[in-house]
Amino acid sequence: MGDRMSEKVMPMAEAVKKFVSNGDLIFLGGFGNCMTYSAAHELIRQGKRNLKITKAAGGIMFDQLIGANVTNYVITSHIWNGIGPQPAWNFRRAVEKGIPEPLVVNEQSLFGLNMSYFAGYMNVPFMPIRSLIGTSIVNMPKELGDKAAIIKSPFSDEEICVVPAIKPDIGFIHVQRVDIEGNAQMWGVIGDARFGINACKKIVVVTEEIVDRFVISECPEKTMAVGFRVNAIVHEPWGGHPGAVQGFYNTDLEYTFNYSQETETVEGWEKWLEKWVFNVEDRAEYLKVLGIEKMEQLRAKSLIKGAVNYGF
Amino acid sequence: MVEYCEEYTDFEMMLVAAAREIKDGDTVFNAFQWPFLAVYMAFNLHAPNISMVFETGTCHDFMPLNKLPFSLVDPCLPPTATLIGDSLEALAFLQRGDIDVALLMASILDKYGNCNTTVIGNYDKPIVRLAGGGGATEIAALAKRIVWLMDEHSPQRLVEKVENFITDVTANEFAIITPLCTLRFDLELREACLAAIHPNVEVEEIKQKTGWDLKSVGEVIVNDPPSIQEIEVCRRTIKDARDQFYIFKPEWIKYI
Repeated sequence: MGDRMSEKVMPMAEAVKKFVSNGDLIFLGGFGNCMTYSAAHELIRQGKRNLKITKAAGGIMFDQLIGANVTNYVITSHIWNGIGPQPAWNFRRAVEKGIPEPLVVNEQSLFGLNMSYFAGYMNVPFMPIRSLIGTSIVNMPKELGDKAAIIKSPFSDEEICVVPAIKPDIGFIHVQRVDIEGNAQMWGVIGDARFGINACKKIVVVTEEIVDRFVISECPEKTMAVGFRVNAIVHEPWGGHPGAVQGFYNTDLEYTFNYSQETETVEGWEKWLEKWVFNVEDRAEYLKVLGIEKMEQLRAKSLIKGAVNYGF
Repeated sequence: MVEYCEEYTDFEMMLVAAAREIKDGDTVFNAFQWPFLAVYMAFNLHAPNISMVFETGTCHDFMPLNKLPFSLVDPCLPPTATLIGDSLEALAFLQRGDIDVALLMASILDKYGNCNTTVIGNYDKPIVRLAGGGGATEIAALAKRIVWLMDEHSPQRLVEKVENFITDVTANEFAIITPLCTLRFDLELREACLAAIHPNVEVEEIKQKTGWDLKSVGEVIVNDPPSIQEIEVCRRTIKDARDQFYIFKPEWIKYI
């Protein structure tokens, strides 16, 4: 280890400043578990513009990035508030009324998008899949051209749909623990995190804990991003709130439900944005607004599992 | 002797009818919202031996009986999973043909099984932008049997043909469960036909509220009303869901 490696550890503000440029395509990790909310909020605070953002299910995190005018281009299969369910109002305003600006929605299916990430990770131009054909996802919106094609297998007479590789410029994942080399471990629901993050050219890991290297080898199968691929490490506990982080805290259902209630109007949205993003400097300050009482309600009970014999 | 419930809502009947579509031992692909409730009910009632696959990448043979998990991503679920993988792995089971049945929620559905969960109105200038299909696109294309849950039986939701945006194409056998009836895809007519009505519903009402000239093949049967046991599980599930911020219309929950 030593000093050179530990240079990867930095505050969120520095990581975003150093690694994110306007216009970049950014992957943001999280599927209910290990959402990258603290990274998303820093993108907003730094006033990034024209980012293209991608994630299998956009949820209210994408809604916030759309409302704050950080992005005008999303590559995703789904955007709503799953608690209710309720509309993602900023997403709707952008598509229906062009507020704050018109949004390009690169429509995807869950499998198609995951396979595109997988192709990006594998560094191959496309991957075959058995869905998508016959849907409007393939050719809408028109200005993006076809997102899938049908090719004949070189090995049989079979025809198959293929989707192109997606290789984001940079990706963020939130994990339970990482060592200072960047070996990042996630558990609980994984969703699109593994292939999404590994398709990225650069990787920023946001973490609940920084641990010693030997802890990683306690269960190396939980490693989601390996050290040599990771560019920056941000230690930001509770960065996944209001989503859950398995073993650390549960989903804040009340906060997430209220989000859609509070952001139905532009005025309501602006108020929400001031309170939870612009009026706080970082995640630590955000947590002061959230309050210790709420954090204690959400904190997960301990349930240690998974000892196996790795003997040889 | 099964004891039946006398008073229940249309919505409860829809959930009960949907749960009955799952056979014990099935491998079920479990999706968000109403399907999640129906699968949970089936597991609690007549189908304790189902295998469940979630689009989040996890597989399960168990769900907590004392309280409904708030969704597929509830952290209470991974500790009892049989597999925790990537979304890609779960979706691979679909592609392999391993999924017997999948329940899905529909926004707008046509008689061929084409579903639109993307937009109301013109795609380029929509009246309402909907959430999008998520994994439903592959579920509809690849599960052996699909059960669509349609929480409102109206000509705006059940249409002759989806033209503005097809999010999902149902490739195999399918049923549509509404608060009024069960429609099933007929292989010869190549469209969804009236197969069963819920108790105390008139066929004429169903026809009026369906956006195409609804046909029936053979005898239209009457579904059994919810049994006492079914309604208990249904209401407990709805109560748990409501406590976890699921939005229900008031008329759907008047008996709990």
